[in-house]
Amino acid sequence: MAPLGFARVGGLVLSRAPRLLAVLSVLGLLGGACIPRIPIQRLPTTTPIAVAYVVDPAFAGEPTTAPEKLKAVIAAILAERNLQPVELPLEVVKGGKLTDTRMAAMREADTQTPYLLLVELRVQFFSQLDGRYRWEVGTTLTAERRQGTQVKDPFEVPIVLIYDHEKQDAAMVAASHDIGSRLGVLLDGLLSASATAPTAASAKPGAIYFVMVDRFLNGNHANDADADPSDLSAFHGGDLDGLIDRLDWLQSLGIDTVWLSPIFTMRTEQWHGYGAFHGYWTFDLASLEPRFGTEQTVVKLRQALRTRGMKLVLDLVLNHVGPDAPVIAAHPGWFHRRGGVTDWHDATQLETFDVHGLPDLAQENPEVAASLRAATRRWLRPRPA
Amino acid sequence: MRRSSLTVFIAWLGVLCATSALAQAPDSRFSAGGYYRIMARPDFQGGDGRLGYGNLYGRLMNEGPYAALEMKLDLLQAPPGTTEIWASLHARIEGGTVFSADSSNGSLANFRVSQLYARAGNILAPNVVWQLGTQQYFFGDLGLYDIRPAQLFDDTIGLSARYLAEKFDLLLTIGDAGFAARGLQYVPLLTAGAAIRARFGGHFELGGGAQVSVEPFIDGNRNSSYVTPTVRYEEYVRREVLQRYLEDFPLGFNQFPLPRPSADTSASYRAVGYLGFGGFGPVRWDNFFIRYQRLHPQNFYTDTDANSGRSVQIYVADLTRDRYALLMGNELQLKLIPDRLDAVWSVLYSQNRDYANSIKASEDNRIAMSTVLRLQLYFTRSLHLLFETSIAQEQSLNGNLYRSNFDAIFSSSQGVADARGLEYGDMKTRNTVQLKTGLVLNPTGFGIYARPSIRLLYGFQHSTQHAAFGNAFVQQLDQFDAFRPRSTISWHHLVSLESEGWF
Repeated sequence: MAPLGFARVGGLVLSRAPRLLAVLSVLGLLGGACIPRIPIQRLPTTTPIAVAYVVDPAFAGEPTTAPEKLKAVIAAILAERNLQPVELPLEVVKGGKLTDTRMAAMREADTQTPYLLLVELRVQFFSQLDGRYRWEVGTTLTAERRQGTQVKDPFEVPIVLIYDHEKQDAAMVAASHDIGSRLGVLLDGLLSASATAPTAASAKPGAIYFVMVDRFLNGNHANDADADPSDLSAFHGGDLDGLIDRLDWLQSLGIDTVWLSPIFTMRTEQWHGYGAFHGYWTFDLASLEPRFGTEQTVVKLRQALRTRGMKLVLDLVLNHVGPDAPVIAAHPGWFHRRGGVTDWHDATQLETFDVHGLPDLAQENPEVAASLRAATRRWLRPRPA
Repeated sequence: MRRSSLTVFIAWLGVLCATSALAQAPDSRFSAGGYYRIMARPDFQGGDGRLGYGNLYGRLMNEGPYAALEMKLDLLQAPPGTTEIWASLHARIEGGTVFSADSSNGSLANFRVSQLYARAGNILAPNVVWQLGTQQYFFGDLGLYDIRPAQLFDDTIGLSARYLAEKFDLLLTIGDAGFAARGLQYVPLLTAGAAIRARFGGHFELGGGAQVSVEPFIDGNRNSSYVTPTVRYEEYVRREVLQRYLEDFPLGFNQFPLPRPSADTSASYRAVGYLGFGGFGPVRWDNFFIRYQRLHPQNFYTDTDANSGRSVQIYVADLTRDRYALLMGNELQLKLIPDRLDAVWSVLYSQNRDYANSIKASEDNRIAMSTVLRLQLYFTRSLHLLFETSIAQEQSLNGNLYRSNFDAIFSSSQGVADARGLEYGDMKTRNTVQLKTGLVLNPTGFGIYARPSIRLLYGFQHSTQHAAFGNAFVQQLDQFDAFRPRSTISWHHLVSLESEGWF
C-alpha cells in the first residue's frame, strides 16, 4: 500500500521534475541576460591610479593592510575602467587618522599618477547569531582626480561567517563583492565627471548651499564701508573673502555647489525702510559691488572652488533693476513702466509689470537682451572653441 | 551633587562625540542583525508542513518559520588602535511563528527576549571582554542540523571574562541557571565553568569546556531538593502516586507523607569538546563536537485526586537524578569542484539514559543516529540546484516507543496493549529516510551556506513509523482516531517555497 502512495504522488513529481527544472533554469538564465547593465566608464588609455589600503584595528593594535583577495577584486574593478593600480605601502597612510590626512599623504608620496584611491576599512564583531558569526565591515572609499574632483562613499557591509576561526580577513573577503560594486559606481561617477566634457547629467549639482554674501562671514574688514552688524537692515560686512575661508567647511557638509546672492553694483541705501544687503537691487550686472570683493577676489574664489571640485552659481538679476538705477535715466526705453503688479495670477502682469515697484526690464527689446547677455557672458569662464 | 552628575554626563557625551569623529571607516553606534526563515508548504497529508519530526533528519524542510532580531548599541566606542574602554549593549528577540505561515499565526506570545547582555573591554586588563547578562557560548554549529552540541552557558545569567589572544581564547563564567532549569519552580543553581579554544596555524582548532551547576539546599524553600518518601517509580511515571496511596488509605489524604530534604546534593554538569580542521585540498572545514551532560534533577509535580479534586506536590529529585545525555556530531564541508559543486556531510549520534527508569519507553532512554549529505550544484553564480538526503535510526532502550501502523494501539509489546502509556507503540526502532531537492536562488553567490536564499524544493520522507510527521492524528496511544486511514502512512511528500537568511 505504501509504495502506491509514493507512485501516485512521488511519481508525478519525479517525472515532471527534470522538465520543470530545465524550464526554470532557462528562465533564470534568460532573466539574468535581460537585465540591462549600467555602462562602465572606461578611460581611452590605461591610466595609473595610486591605491592605498588601511585596515584600522577594532581596538588596540596597529593598522594593517587589506587581504589580497579584496585587493584582487578592487584591481579587477579598476581594470574594467582601464585604471592600473599602483599600490602605495601601508606606511604612507598608517600615520594619519583622518581620510583627509591620508589623502594628503598619498598626494605627497606619489606625485605622478593622475588618480588616487584610498580604501579604509574597520572590521568589528557583532555577535554569535543562530549558529553563525556576524561581523560588520565599515568601509570608506575615497577617489580623487589629482587637483580635481574628489568623491567619497562611506558604508557598512554586514557579513555572516560560518566558522569562528574566520575572523577579520575572512569578513573583508566576504565583503569584497559589495565593496567592489560600490567602488565601481564611485569610479564611474568620478570618471564621468572629470574625463569627459560636461553633459547635462554630469553638470547637475549634488548639494547646493545658498550664500547670502553679506550675512555669511566678514573675511576682509577693509571693504566694510558703513557695515553695522547691530542693525538688521544694514550691511553686516560679509564678503567673498569670508566665503573662501569657509569652503573646507562647506565641502565637509557634502556641498558641491555654492550659489551666491547678487554681488554686482547695487543700490546700497535703504528703500521704504528695507535694507539693501540682499543685493537684488542691482545697478550694473557687469561690475561688482566693492563691499563684497573685487574681480581678483572672484578669480580667487573660482580657483578655490575648482581645486575642491566644487561649482559656483552667480545670481544675475535679469527681471528688473534697483530703484533709481542710473540705467533708468540713461535708457528709459528699456523698461515697461506699466505700474506695479496687482493681479498675481495674470501672466502678462507678472512678465511686464513692476514687482514691488522695481523697474521691470523689457527683455523683448533687442538692446536690453543684448546688454543682459553681454553682462552674463562676462562672468562665464572662457571656453575653448 | 546634581552639578557633578551633570558634569559627568556632559563629559560622557563629549567622549562619545569625540571618539565617533575619529574613525574614518564608518562605525555605526547602533546596528541590528538577525535571522529569518519563512516558507509556504501546503500539506495535503494532514501534516503541519514539516517533513518529519525534527532536526535529526536535517534542518531542511523539518523546521518551521523563525525570526530573530539582535540589536547592538555601542555605549562607548573606542577609537581604532587604542586601549580605551569600550562598551556595548546587546538584545535579541526571537521566536518561531509568522502570521499565516504556521498555526500560531505570528503570536508575539511565541517570541522571547532570548539574549540581553552588556559587553565591555579594556577594563582592568587589555584584551579581556567582560560580559554581564546572558552567557550563551558555542564552539560552532552543525549547520545541516541546526544543532550546536558544544554549547555552554546557554542557561546561565551571570558574568564572564573572555581573554582573546592570537593563538587561543579563554572564557571563565559564573552565574545562575535556576530560571532556565526550573522556571516557576525557581531555585538558585550556582553555575561556573570555563572554556578554551586554541588555534594551530590556521588549519587546526581544538577546544573544550565544562560547566557545573550546584543547587544549594535552602531549608523551607518549597522549590529546593525535597523528596516525597515511599514513592515507587512506576507510580511516578504513571502519575498515579496519590491514587495508589488513597487506594491503600482511603481516608488518609491528610496523612500523605510530607516531603523531606534529599540526602544528596542536586548537581548537574556538562562537558564539551571540539576539534576543527580544514583549509587544505577540497576540505573547507570540518567540525567535530561532543557533549556529555548530567541533567539537573527535577523538583516536583502536582498530583490530583480525581474524586476529591485535592492535590499534593510529589517531590521527585531522587527519582530524576540519574539522567545523562551524550551527543556528538561531525560536519565536513567540501569544495568538490570550485564554483561548480560543493558538498556538506554531517553525522550525528546521541544517547540519552535515565537509569532510574527501566520501565517506560521514552526519549530519555534512546539512541539516535543520523547522517545527512547535501550537494549544491551551481548553474550560475546565483542559480543553484540543491540535493539533500538523510538516513536516521532511533532506537528505544526501554521498550516500544514507535508504532508501525495506524492501529498499533491494539498491538503493543507482545500483543499486550498498555493504554496507560508506559509504551508508545509496537516498535523499538524507527528508521527514516528523507530526500529533498530543488532550485535555489542565492543573490549573494556561491556557497551552500550563502544567504539569503530562495528555494523551491520537493522533499519526501519514508519512515517505518506510521504517519511520522507532526499532525494531530496519532500522537497518543489512547487517542481515538475517528478518521483512521485505510492503510499505514509511511510516506510524506511536501513541496516548499521558502526563503532563509541572516542579515
